[in-house]
Amino acid sequence: MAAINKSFGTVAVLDHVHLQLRAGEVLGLVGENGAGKSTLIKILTGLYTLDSGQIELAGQPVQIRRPADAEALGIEVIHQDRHLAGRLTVAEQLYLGTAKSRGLWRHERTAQAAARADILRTTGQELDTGAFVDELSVAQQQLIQIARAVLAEPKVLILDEPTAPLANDEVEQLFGTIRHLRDRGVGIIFISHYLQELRQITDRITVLRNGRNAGDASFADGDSIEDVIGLMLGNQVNEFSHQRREPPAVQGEPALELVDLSVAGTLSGINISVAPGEIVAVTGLVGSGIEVLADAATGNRAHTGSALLHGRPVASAADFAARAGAYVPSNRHSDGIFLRNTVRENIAAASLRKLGRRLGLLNARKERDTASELVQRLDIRPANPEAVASGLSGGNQQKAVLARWLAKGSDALVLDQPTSGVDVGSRAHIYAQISQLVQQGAAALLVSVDLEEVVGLADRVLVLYRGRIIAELPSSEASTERILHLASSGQTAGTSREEVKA
Amino acid sequence: MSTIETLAAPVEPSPGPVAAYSGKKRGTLQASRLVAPGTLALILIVFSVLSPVIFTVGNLFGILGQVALLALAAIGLTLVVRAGGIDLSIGVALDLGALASAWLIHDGYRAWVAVAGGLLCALAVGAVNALLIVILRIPAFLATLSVWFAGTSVQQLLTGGGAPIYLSAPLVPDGFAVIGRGYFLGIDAAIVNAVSISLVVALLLGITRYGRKLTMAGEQPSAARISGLRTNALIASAYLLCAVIAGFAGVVLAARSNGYVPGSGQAYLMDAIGAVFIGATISRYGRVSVGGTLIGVVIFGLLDNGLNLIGLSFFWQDLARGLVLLSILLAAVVLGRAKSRPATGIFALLRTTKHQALTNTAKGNRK
Amino acid sequence: MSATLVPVDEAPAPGASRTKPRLAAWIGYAGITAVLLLFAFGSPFFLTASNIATILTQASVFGIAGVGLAIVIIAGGDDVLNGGIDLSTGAVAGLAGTVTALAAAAGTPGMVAVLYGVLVATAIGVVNGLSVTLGLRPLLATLATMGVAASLELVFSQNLKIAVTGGFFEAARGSVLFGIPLVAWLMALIGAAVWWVYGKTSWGVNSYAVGQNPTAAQVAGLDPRRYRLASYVLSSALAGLAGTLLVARLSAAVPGIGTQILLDIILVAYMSMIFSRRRLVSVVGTVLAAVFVAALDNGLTLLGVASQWVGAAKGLLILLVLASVTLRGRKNR
Repeated sequence: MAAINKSFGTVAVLDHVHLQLRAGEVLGLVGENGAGKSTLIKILTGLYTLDSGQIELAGQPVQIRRPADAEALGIEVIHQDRHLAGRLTVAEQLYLGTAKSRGLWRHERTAQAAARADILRTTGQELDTGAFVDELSVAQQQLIQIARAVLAEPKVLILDEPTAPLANDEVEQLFGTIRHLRDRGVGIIFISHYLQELRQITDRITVLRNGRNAGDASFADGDSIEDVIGLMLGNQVNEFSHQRREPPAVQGEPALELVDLSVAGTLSGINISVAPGEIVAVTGLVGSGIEVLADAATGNRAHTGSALLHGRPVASAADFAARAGAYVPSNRHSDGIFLRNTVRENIAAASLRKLGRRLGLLNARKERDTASELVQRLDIRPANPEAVASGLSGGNQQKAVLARWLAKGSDALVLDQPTSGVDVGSRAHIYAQISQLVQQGAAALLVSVDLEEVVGLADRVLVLYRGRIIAELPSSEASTERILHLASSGQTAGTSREEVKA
Repeated sequence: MSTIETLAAPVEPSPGPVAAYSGKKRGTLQASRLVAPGTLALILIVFSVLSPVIFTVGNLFGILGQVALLALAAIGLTLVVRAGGIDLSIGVALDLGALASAWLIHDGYRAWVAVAGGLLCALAVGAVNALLIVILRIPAFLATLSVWFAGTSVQQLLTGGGAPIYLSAPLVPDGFAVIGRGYFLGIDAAIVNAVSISLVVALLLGITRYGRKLTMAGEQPSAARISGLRTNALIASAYLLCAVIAGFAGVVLAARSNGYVPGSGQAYLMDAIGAVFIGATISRYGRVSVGGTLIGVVIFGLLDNGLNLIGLSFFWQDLARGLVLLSILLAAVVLGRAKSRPATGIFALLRTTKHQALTNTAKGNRK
Repeated sequence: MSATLVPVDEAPAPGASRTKPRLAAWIGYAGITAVLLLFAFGSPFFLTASNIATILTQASVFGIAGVGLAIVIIAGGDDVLNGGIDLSTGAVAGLAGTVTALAAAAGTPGMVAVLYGVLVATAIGVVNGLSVTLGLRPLLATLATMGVAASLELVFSQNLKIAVTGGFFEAARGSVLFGIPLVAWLMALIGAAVWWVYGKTSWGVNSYAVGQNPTAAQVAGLDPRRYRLASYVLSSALAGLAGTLLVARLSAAVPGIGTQILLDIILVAYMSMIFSRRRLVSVVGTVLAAVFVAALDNGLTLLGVASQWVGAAKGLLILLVLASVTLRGRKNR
């Protein structure tokens, strides 16, 4: 691939990215979240089309416009999002759309036996091939994807975060399969955040940063994990140039407290307490359970253990919001912004009563006044409270979501990936607002995979690894390198708090 | 996210980069939005050429009088669709409203008792819907379909096998008769009723907190929940209100026709759904609205009336209605697709997006 | 160290998880058996050969049309608002019946008249399928064609009952093969054929995949539009056939019957979920459900239950089925 460009709207996601993959090698592709890895892969597999640039396969320029094109060229991918049909049996899903499923009389038993053999051969795992796909664990579903891709006998195999849901021995099996394929001349692109794994399996590594090539590395040639981390992080522009807050002097009663919070299959025994005037960040790799933590803490997801807001348990999402809890969710488009409403309506959504008239009527003027003030304060663009939210950029949408809680005057914030897909300028505004709120006595729980953000904002950093908190660092000890090391290896070298008992 | 939640939110916008396109070309008017008003204009022009009578004041009011009941039913349905659901049982609520009020009048009760009785019966239908959908989480379509089933037989049971109730005109109190047959400032009472209810609902959706919350809960339930709205109560209230409005239509029907004929309410269901979704095409976001619904209702009314005036039989009117509905919806979808990629357009409501399926899977599998 | 940090696995062992749906399926069967036993004890006439023949004859119309609807739901997904649904099926059946009756009355041979009916139905199916593949929601598309089909029926029949006479229809009504009515054989034959296509061939698995998760199907190289278009065409063709059977059974095309049978067809198709190990709509389940619903109608009447209650019983039945399917679904999530 050469000089690949891709932009969505005005946001350039990929900027002249080059990637070279030889037959019979494993190429690692790394970069921070939002660096453009997934977009690059989607272009290779025909889910997106490229704006400019060229893709060559075996020296021939090729066009990939739809998934079928990629398949015809022998490019197989194991997506991070598992695209599986729930109520199909494993055997049916494994052979879906392949020559093996064709025929006028599918003998279920035979197909299941063949599928079991195929899965065993390609992944080394036993799977009940008569079970339905949605009855399987995430790891087992992943095995189907791997087996499917390998069975297609690809020339190029792309694995996007394949190990996140797998246990250690399953990872070993997968590596066995990968080496086997590599020895047969298959070119493999391996995307992962787990740098330890990359060291084990890859021959070379290409690093992306902010949609550009940041450089190549090779563990075989003596580069270390630290070198790769250095490439990933680069010399970033510091967005945290705003006034650093004084660390909270007196800590009162915790505003927000998680006690033994567990979510089946993802989180176990999480204990966190956030006092007024402090920002506590929780970070971890994708797949570590970080995705569901904020939902569970705000009453949006079933969990065991309890989440306390100002000392009382959070009964529901509405209860959380009613007691001045603010939740900025990670999935902005479905859970955060009201896409078809104006910025004014979005800002007023949580405080309609406060901004309304008597008799349940709306008060457009009051709403507009509040919205205008917040639009200015957060520099939401276009600076028009009547702009419809779906027309705003991600960063401005996120500012509007935050403004909703500012309008309400919330004093306990839960921020889930508050700046994912948000441009640099908007980030600064969001950070400034969070800091200011906390300075005024609010408590903030920041859940983020963006290490810069975590280090730049938090007073304390908790590291989540495979569903548990394995380390707590005060801001003085927290550095991106240290956190990345902890989060990707799970090794709590040196000072850390005791592991939480289950 | 379960299928049920998806049902409650048919318009869940697609996340991801696709929405980033929506930044462009928002200012221009989508052609798809002109389909419904265009059709209305076309029908007017065609019929005014074919028949000079159509533009007489008397005829226009006649049309409005004929569609007043449909308008009421469709307005009720508009509320439910705004709340992200659908109600196939409006016919039952309408019939029970008519039945109860006719019955009470027949037994010599006063007008206000009859009206209250009719509305209460309809409210019961709404309460059953709300229970099934919000508490038992049965998909709205199937839940209200079963209520339609059950309601039809309840009517038959109450009327001893489907015998109509006829009220002899002299015995009907004036206070009741005026609801359906009276004249207010020379305007048919049914029109007055339909217009006033439309106005109330339009204001409810437009300028009250309730309307804002209902819309949010219907379009993006999870975002609404996170913003602290009690989505369950909101959605339940939409079914209750819809049933009461349909019940009121039933009371008007009973007063207008001096009696009750079992099963007459179902006739309004299909037209009401058609009108509501025709109305959705005029919104940039495929959002149903009182105004749009009324346009749909008037299209149907004009079509019937015009075909009548040029001498086509009742059966052809039905056919024309079906064809017009299909063409408007198809035109809106096709134009919407050609114009813009984002799933926030009219598109989002009429069309099943594949991105929606994509998000569901991703979420479903991540658990 | 790392061994203790393995995430807790959510899914139970495969062996354990698979007994659950089976058990639930048995509850469905048990409930149905109980109801049938009740009828058998309540009325000695219920289990006589002639009554069973009546039940099967009644079931065949809903069964055949229901199988068509089942195909639509399989390929469209069972999310009613966005997924596959064909509301026009009843009206199409009525239209096909009227066309057949008119053709027969005009002197067309019976077989050819049936063919006309089915062809007209298929044409509506093509309109449905194209509208859906163009991107219109199935619910709205088929609602509109339902109106079109119902009014076409009235236009053709002028709202009059059209009697059919002639050996062909009488034979279709009265013939019995091995003690079972011919139409029931037809239902069984169609059921078996569709079961084979949707249960045993790649077309079937692909259709299920398309209905379950269109993205997964696309990733696997399938084109969802193909399967959806075909499902609507097939559904209408089967509905048309069912309509002509109804004409044969009633010896006449009765105007407006289409909307009446729609609810039964929907009931039958959704009820098939309780017979399915997949917890989805199934072909064989639809045929079984059709027989059960016909038996329910018949049995309640034999027990002397007023016809009004039968409708209420059906409404309740739909709710029970849905509630049980919803509960089963929730457990597995």
